[in-house]
Amino acid sequence: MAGSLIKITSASTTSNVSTIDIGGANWDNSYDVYMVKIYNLQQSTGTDVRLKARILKSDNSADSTSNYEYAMLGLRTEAAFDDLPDTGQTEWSNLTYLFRGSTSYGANAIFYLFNFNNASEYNFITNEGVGYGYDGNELMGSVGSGVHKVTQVAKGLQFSLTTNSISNINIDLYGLKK
Amino acid sequence: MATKEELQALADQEIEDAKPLYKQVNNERLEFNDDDYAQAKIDLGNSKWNDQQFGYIQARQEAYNSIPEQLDMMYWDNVNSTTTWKDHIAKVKSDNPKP
Repeated sequence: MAGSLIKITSASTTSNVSTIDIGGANWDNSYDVYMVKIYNLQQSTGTDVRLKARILKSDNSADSTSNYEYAMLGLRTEAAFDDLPDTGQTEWSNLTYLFRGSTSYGANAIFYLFNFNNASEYNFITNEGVGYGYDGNELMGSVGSGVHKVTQVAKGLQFSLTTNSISNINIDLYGLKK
Repeated sequence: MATKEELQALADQEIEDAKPLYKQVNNERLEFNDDDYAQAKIDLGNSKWNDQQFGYIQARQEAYNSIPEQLDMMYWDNVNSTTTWKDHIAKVKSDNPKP
């Protein structure tokens, strides 16, 4: 069937972890574009944190070099938008908000991955995220894009939070069939 | 204001105190290895430094009223000869000073 989403692998946890990988040894390099779905992301304590990501290199380890750039926009119901760009970073940050006020509010996001199998182009991502509960009462979305300015093959993403551990997350990786 | 080295020392200690930390790879929960702990210390040190040096930018963005609300403040300031908008901006800046 043309245009299908083909599920490649999943990852999840209900125990605290500092990082969680999707792809790596389970990466399928037969697609041009991938989609990553994250749902019910929760943190270990109720502080203001955000989701971050690094790409997994061909040896399945995370790339922590200062080659990440991103331009994110935070969309809020109770305040002006947050302009969240940065360059020369060691990871993509501000991918979704997680909020102070409660650990029980889940955040959710969709990412598209481009050029991950192309060793002569940079890696790109786009994202849309949504969460609730900044100070207990605010809906906050995020949209944006990122580039990893290294011409190398990538095999997935490693997610973490700005502080605290991930206490719950469900991640699915799909390939977009031509 | 702390130096980068002082913040890195704090980060190193926080990671030591937080042990054991875990990662999830191929759906297997594993304790960090030495390289993971070293990277976690670097990441936390950088985060502390960025928060100290640039955290005021984010804090100000979150504290400013929306643009429509600020325009409304300006309109009524103009009508009533008040300084509500100017006071709001000044308070956000003073509450979140540059380092």
